[in-house]
Amino acid sequence: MADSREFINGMKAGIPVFVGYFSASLAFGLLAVSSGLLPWEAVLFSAVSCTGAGQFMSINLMSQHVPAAAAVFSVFLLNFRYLLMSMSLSIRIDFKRKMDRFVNAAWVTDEVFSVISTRSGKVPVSFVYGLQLVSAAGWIGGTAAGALGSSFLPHSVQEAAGIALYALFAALLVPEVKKNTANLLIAGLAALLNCLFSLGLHWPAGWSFVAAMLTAAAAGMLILPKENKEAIA
Amino acid sequence: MSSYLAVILFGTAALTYGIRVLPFLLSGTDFLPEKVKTFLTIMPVAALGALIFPGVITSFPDMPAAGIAGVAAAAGAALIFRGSLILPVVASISVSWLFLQFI
Repeated sequence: MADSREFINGMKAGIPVFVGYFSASLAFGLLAVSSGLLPWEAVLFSAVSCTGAGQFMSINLMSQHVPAAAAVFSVFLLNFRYLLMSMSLSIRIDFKRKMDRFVNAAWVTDEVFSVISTRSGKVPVSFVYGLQLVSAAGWIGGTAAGALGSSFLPHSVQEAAGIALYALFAALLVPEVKKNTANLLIAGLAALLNCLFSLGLHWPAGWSFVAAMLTAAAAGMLILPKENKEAIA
Repeated sequence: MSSYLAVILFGTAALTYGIRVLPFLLSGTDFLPEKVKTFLTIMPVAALGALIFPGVITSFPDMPAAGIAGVAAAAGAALIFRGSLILPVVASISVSWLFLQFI
């Protein structure tokens, strides 16, 4: 069956995401428990909103006793990028049933988005299920491991594992740059703008990210000749 | 669970799900103008750049070089081992660990 083959392909594509997620959510589990959450609360947090940076931000704001409404709104801003990602994915995923849209939407993350977008053509929905299942297992499993086993990892390894998500992003970017060097300019511009907005102008991280991404993509749309655009798509 | 935690946990989850599901339910995206579609296809590349910087610098406040070196190792490994994502992740954790330990 083509469907089950695509499901397996999706799971395979999810393995590196699992590795990156497991180490990142391990850190989340550790941090959540050390800032007063019970292990099951930390796991529930990861299960209902896999938002990476958003969850770290929530824990950070809660430990500063920020009013709940302000904390929720900050995370909303940070997560606004998922609207753009879902918009992009809605024309890439080959949805069959209405139900798939509701299920797949729960797990639109930076990494799932990147893996799907860097594949060519329409992506079968069974591939997305396989990818999301393995990713979710990594994120929730890592949180549980971090929350329960905080004492087992050497501190130095915990610290270094913070790099894993960025490594994943870099490894996803390299093939795009190989495909078309102009992509390095677009990514570089987005990186520069995000540094300028968030570090220089102190914009909230969520808006800074959205503004940098939109501006760089708009610039890319204007500077790229037509044939290059097709090469990217 | 305290009500404070519950509001934050379920509040962020509900809003984030709304953001994620809305574009999937609006069928209009198939009839977007060509310009907008091009814009959306370029977006992943722009997103990756903005996801890496400045996060990778600020994630190691005491030693930003560990983050830079880790990402450079990941990019190098991705160039050499075409298509692999696991090796870049392992390479970057190793390099960052070495930086944090010995520099």
